[in-house]
Amino acid sequence: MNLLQVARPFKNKNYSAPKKARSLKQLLAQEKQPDFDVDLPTYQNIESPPSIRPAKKYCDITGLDAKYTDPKTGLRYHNAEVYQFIKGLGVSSVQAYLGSRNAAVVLK
Amino acid sequence: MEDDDFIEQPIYAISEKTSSTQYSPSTDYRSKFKGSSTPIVIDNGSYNCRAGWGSEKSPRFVFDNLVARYRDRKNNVSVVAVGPEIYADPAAKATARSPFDSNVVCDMERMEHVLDYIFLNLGIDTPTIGHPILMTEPACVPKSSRKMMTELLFECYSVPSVSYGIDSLFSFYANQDKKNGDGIVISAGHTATHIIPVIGGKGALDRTKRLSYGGTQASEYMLKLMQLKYPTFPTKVTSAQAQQLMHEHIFVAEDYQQILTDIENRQQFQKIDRIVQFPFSPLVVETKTEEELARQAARKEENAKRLREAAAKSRLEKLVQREQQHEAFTVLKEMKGTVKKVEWLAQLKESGFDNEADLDATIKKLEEGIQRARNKELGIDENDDKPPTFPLLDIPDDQLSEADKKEKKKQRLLKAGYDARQRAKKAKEEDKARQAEIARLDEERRMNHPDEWLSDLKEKRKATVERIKTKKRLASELADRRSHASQLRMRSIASLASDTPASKRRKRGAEEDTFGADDEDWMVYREINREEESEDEEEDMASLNHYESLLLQHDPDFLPEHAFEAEQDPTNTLLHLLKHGMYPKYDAQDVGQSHQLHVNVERVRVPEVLFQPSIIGLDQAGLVDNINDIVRVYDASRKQSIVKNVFVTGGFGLMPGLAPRLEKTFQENFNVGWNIRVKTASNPTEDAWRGAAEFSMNDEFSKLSISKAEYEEYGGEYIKEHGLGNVFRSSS
Repeated sequence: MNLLQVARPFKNKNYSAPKKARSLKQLLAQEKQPDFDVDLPTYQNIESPPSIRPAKKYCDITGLDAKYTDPKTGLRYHNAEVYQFIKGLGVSSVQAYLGSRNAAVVLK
Repeated sequence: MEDDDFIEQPIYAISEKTSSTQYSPSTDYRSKFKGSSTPIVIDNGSYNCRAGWGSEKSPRFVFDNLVARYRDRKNNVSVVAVGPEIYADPAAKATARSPFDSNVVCDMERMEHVLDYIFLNLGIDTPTIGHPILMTEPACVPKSSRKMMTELLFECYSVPSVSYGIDSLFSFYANQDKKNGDGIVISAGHTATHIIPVIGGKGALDRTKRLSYGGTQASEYMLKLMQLKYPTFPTKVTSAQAQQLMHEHIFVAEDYQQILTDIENRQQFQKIDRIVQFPFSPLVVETKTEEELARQAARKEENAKRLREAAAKSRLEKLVQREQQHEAFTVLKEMKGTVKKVEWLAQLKESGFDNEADLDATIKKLEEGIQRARNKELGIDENDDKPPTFPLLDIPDDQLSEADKKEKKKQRLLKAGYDARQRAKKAKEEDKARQAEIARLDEERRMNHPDEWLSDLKEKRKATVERIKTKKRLASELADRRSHASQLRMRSIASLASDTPASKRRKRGAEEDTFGADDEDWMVYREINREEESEDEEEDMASLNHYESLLLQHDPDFLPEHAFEAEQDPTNTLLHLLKHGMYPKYDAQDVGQSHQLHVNVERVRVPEVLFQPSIIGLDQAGLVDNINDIVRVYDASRKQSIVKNVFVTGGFGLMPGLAPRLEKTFQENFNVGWNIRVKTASNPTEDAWRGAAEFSMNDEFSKLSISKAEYEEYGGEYIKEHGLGNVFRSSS
């Protein structure tokens, strides 16, 4: 069914929705008003605060517990065997693994 | 390990979503709803949109909240398709977008198409929408989004009134008998997870928290993990397939650490591991029929025969030629007696010979050749093992002619070669005997002192393994220029190459270079040699194999899987286990197996992010920490009444194990006597719509809606607070 080719009698022919879609970021930027009540919940301030607990470390390759960190790549690993695997990884794979926990080096 | 330890694991299929329920305009509008003020209820979710009449028990339509806008090149028309329609055409599927950015409606043009689709399918044929609208919105939606939505509804569809509420609170409302109780709502949605405390039946938005992890993030994470785990997977895993993996296979671990340890245990592993088969086309193996094979063999045989015949023919031709030559030369030789010497010599020259000896030699050679060829034809083997004799060697030189002396010299050389061969043979035999003797002594020792012998053998094996490992380590260290081993090597090379060795400067007296005086000095060249000493390695491997075969034979504790090679075997590694499972054994040639994914750690790792967002590097507190923080401010009795009524809703909340995990964690965190209960919505995806429909049937409903006049007076963002929706305070 092509919506453009069916009769939609219930619509106001004279109205058209704003053509340009704005991103959520743009919408939020527009929201900001300095005299806002501090207690008033807004889209931004209901976002979860950062954790105060120390994060548990997990192996970047297997997902199991990570007791060790490779100082060269920064990857966390579970045991010697996974370390052997890490040693064979190229830079791009290392970055991909780091990227899976948002720790990759991002060049801007 | 015994074979019967293996469980036959089921294989799960993966499929591309190609269709969903199609809807067509309802025909009951005129008879049932036209002219009435039955509200239209729309649960406008970022994943699914559910719409229907408030007076009914369930939504009329549930569809993917997607809009495709594209140009149909074949018919040269612009097309707009919504929801299930997009699966009809690949072009539509490719251009499908949601009106949402994250969980907020941002694209009003697409939203308009979605609303068109809803009203059209409800069968509405009046010039305006004469029904109040109740729509859901996310907690704390930006006002401008709501403003655009209200504007759209009033201006474009001329609806009589509009009201909004929060989907998860409606779901809570639908699932509670007591409408004014306390509780806490966990809404695990498509793009985010909200935690909303409820006090006296009203959502406490000021204590609400939003965790940026929902269904989309989970399936994205699943996809990323699979891509990392199978970098050479033959087909592209689409995000829809990753979503299916996420829907069907994840579960929340009651004890995450326990599951992680279980996975390493091969027995437990099989219970957690899931095999997911991707579609593939099996390799076509060409099978030849018996007849074809026979024909092929016959052709081959024929070719060989032809070649053999050609070779025999050329041999025969050569033989005939040689015989002719032989005859001619013999005639020439016989002519010596009958013709004059000068004439004969001239003839000899003419035939290409220098003198008579040359002719004799040629004749002899031809004779030998002919003999050999004949022997071959007749199949006579002329090799004999008789030791050669050297008769001339025993005769003193002065008794010999000049030619014989030459021959004697030749014989001496031949004899020397022969003797050397014999000596080597003898040495070999002696060596063999010595080896046998060593083996016999070893065997004797084994019989007499079995324990000692065994520990010795183990020691030797250990030493060899150590040596092999050291060599490997050294080789890998040498690959890195900055390693200690590499630097030592460079230093050795430098000191070898320098004209003035460092030692000279230190010891003034010792002017002479004593390198080589000690055999050990030469070892330095072995040390700096970077090439793999394959010979040494082979020797080590051979002796290791020998030791291990002995151990296998005589040591009951030494099992095949303890052997060096078995331990080095990649199929015994943890990574192989996680990637290819245990049984059936992975075969890289098997096309079906190479199209399989093993989902194991990921099954718990993906949902665990809700509890530990640091797993994906998300800098937010986990679900439980957030809830603890939210209820912290309430007094004990309020806290108890909230925690006693934990309510889980939303599509992402469908994952198995979420409620038990939460219950277990809360029981650990709060007082024992509190009787904590975690309840999941009876239908986590549709209850929001049901609650909204129930709410729209309230007597109060019309008072909580915004009329066109109110919209015009207060603006599009204005709403009336009713406890199940957002709060509103004018920004003045």
